[in-house]
Amino acid sequence: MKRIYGYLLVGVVALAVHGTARAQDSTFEIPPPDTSSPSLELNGSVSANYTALFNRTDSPLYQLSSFGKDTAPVTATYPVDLYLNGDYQNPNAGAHLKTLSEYANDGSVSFSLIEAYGSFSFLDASVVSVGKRIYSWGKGYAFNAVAYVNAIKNPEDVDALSPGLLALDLAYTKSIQAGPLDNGALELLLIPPTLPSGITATDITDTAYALRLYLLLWNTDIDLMGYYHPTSTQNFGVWNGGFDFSRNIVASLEIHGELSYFYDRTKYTITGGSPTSESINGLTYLAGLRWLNSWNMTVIGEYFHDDGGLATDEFSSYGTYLRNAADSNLQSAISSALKTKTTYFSAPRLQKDYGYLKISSPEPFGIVDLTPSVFTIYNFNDQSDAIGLSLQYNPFTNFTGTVSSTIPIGGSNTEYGIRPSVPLKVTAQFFF
Amino acid sequence: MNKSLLGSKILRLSLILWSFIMAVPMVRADDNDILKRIDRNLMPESYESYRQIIDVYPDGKKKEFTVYTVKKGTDKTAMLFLAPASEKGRTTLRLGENMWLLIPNVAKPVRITSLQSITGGVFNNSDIMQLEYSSEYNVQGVEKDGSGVILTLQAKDQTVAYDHLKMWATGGDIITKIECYSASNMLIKTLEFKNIKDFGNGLIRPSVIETYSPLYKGYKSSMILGQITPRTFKDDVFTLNFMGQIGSLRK
Repeated sequence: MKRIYGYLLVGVVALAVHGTARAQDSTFEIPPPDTSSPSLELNGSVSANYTALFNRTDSPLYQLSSFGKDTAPVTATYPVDLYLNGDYQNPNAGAHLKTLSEYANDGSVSFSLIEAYGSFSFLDASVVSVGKRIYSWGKGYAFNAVAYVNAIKNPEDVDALSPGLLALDLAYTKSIQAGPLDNGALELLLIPPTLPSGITATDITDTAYALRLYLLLWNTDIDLMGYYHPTSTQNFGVWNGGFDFSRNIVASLEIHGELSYFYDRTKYTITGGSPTSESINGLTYLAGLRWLNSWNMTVIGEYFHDDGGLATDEFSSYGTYLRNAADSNLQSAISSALKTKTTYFSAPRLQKDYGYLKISSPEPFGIVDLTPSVFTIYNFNDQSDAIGLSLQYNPFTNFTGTVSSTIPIGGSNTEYGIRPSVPLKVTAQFFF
Repeated sequence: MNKSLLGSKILRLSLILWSFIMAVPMVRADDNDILKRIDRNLMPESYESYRQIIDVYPDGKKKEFTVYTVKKGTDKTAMLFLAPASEKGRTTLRLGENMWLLIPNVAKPVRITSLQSITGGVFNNSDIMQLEYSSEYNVQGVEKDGSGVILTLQAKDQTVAYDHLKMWATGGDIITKIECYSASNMLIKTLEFKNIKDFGNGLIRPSVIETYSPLYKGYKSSMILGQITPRTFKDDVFTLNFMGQIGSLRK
């Protein structure tokens, strides 16, 4: 019954939104200013999702996660998501909130605070903000090398919204007209550690720091970044430094790149049937382009390398470890393998070298409102890959319907070959 | 070297240089002035404006976008989408040939190119975030057309959306039509400027721009200018970090 109410809500919003979308031929209504006086603005969307998982019963990951449960060749979920954003702004100060509430099949409701921060402008070109905020460092579309303060991007779902980072942020921006230099900005982040439940205070030396200098130089976006984290992590070292760039070469072609050096980063491998760690130093880098061709087709291509990724034989050891645990039929071995996978090998990419290619073409064959796209992520190390397909349909204002699927392809001991399922997702999203 | 030989060499070199200079088609300073006057009649040097962009599809369906735009000088403009709700909060920034798009949930400005279209219609990013024509094109030729003129404009570099333009203007230097061509002289689109309107502050200009393209048969887009008011802004408004705050400029 609750699910019916959820879909009724979606339907009511859709009708309301559709009703307000009307044609205006020669004049139009200018929306009133939001910030002439301090004001609160609310907006958001409701998204009804249907996801079918076509389970790959021979996958060790599927066998581990389904151990002791009733299994079915196809399982489905039907969550309804409500994204609600609130912004309170006056000329010098603002408060910003982004939330996600999810109503799941079983009637449970979960709530996530995606962003919650306040900001204050001072000294003309400086802004200080405090709170939880989404950052997006780096120029890559599917991968990033310098995303020190971002959630790790999943190349199979680059638009996924992840909770922000709790930080104190000081930013200074200046429009500069000095020869080839057009613009500059300096940003410093102080990032407190994430504490275990029940712990509310920590040693100040546990604070991480991130610094970014942005320049628009010779018509090229250039960022120089540094990141210090008091302890070594799987994604970044204790010390990290790098840069990124982006530039339009001609009217339809953009190129970008990122390079990062990490020092003292933790790498986990499976040795002797259990996870072991080592400290490593190395490089992560990315090169990419975005091209709009004469058929109105947008092509995005990227190559990504991570010295901290698993080598082919290391991934093979991990795959064998999962296979042995799944074949053991022992609860203790299966629980241990699942914990190892979740703790050390849950990143959206695990190996060293990847290629990404995405092609999207709006309105194919004269079908208005439809945008199909296809992408592939190729793992150069074990030659496995994932192919993604998406159809986006916008039949009326403030509505987007999407059907998408990602099909993993690869051998029995490869990154995409051991994926537990093939997802098929249908989403109807209404904006208000 | 003897002086007469040196003098003869200098004379010969000067003649060669002179013949090269004479071979290059000369554009009179007046011609570029015409383009600057056309620009000034189209928009104040610095302003804020409200526009509606309407994309019409072959089946008659329309998509409408309302945008708030600010511009400063010859090479800086920023734009905020006010409607529809699905696009609200999207912001674009253009600094000369550089363009960025900020989508609120993505949290970072992404570099875009001039030939892409943020609305998906016939207008591309360059049309929607139009700077002064004189900042992107040089006048190559001027022809009389009745009481008006036809200007032939050549892009200053390869990042400009169109290789060359043919621009029609009235005797009063008010633009009426532009044909946009590729380097291979293929017509990419036509822009028609219609409905002359008095916007106040001495600005009398077309209030509607319609475009169609042989490459997008059956599609049509139009841009309606609702308000345009001279206003000055600080340079810092036109920076990536300010993109999320463009809405705070609205009065």
